[in-house]
Amino acid sequence: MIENTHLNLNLYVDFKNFNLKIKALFARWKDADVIDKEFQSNEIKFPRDFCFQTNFERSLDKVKQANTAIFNSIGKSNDITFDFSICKKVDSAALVFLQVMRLELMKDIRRLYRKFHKEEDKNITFIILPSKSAEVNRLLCVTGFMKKADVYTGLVEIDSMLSPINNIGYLKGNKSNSGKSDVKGQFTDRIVKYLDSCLNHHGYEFTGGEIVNMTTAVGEILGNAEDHCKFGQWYISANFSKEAVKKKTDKFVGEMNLTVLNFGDSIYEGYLSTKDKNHVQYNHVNNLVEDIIVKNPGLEFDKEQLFTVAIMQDTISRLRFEDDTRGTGTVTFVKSFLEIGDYKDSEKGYLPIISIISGKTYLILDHNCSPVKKGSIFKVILDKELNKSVSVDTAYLRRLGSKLPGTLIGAKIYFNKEHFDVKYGGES
Amino acid sequence: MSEFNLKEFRPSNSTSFIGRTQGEEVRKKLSLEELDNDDSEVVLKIPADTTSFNPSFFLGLLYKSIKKLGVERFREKYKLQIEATDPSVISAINGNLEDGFRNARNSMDNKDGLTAFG
Repeated sequence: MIENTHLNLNLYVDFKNFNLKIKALFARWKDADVIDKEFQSNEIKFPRDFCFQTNFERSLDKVKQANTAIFNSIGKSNDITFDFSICKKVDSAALVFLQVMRLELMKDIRRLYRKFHKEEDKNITFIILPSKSAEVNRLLCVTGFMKKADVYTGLVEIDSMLSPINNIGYLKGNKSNSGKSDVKGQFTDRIVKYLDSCLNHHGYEFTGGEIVNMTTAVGEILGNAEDHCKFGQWYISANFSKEAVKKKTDKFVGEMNLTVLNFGDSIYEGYLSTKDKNHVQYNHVNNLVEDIIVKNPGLEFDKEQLFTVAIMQDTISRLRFEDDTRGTGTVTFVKSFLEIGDYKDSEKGYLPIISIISGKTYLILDHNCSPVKKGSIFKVILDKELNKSVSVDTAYLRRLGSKLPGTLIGAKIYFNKEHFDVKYGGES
Repeated sequence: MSEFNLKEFRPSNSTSFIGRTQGEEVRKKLSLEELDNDDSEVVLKIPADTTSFNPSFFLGLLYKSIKKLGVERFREKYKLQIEATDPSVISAINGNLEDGFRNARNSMDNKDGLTAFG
């Protein structure tokens, strides 16, 4: 058993107002659809597969249960247990989402405790029951749920060659920050320095030009997150693991996960919200989407998924009517990350991907569908063979049974010195 | 001729120019709307330590001028001086600027990526 986090909360003097504020906070989280109001326990048993990529609906349910458990514990001095003991598989996206929710909710609750004065200390303790899988514990560690020293405690099997190295923490941006106090640029610079430090493990570093290219890619995606967040906040986090090797070798591989998250409307909802003002482009997209639906009876997608793919394309944006140059960010990000992280090893399961989860849409981009340039336009093509008439493929696009209340972009890329040497023609 | 060092308009905690809104704010501060109405040259200095001149910032700052003047006249009037000395940085920032121009042209020509559907 690992005691992960002790949070000193204080009892309040003004019970009535405190309770009203907690009720209001609960109502806000319920409205955002991140609460399971039926859930009563303080113990969350995470499933064997806690992955947004392969088990989205059930994983999202568990995050909602975790949020509810925190509310249930207010003022009761209860432990909250996150039980990963049967978990065999997790992904960074699900864990980062869980962690951001936990941090945000605890921050709101702490704020209310402070506001309503202190009488005596109460603790909410998060207890993390680790998995028997090294791979699960490795990701629990780099996403901040577990200490490095505990990763290999009580394991049944070592099912991962990767060892946790570090993370950059959870960086939170605010839409109200602009001009001289804008944190977007500051966080972008930090993320790029972090990426560079990950490359350093493999004997490489960014050139000045590569720093510009990566800063551009990260900056564009943070700009998008800021433009589209409904509640004014967005988050970015990154973590790094690498293969543990006994001898000095160029063959070892590093895995870097980057996650950008904003809450509010999905990409599709955001686009619909401006359809009257943006009617020229909306009609164009809508006609194309309806044409695909008519020509492909039995298609596994509905309008939301097809619209989301369309909106990913160069120059398509819900804000096009305000400024007819909107819609450049996602393509730039995808292009740059799939370029720098193009190492893959299918046998080891090292497959670089970029996941975009928004509302009920799950879009996966890899090297088979990375943006290609046609004339002056970069297109995201969702087709393995790149030449079919309908460029949507269920391997890359999925309709989700539950809705993510916002947009999460996750990049998982791999670094390997031997690969870099071949790609760049020797050591840099 | 008007000459501006953009370092004065960059957030103090960052070496990158990022964000359409931020570009638009700088556009207002530099009164580019008014400067577009005369024939004088405008020099915009991109400081040596710049780590990105994002297409979004570029478009927020300059798209209205490009649209108003057209690409050729814009290029004659506006001189974007990259003060970096590292050739790879100069090349990458030039890439940023060209990406900005590419997006501006696509928007003016009403081109988009929707042909990816069919």
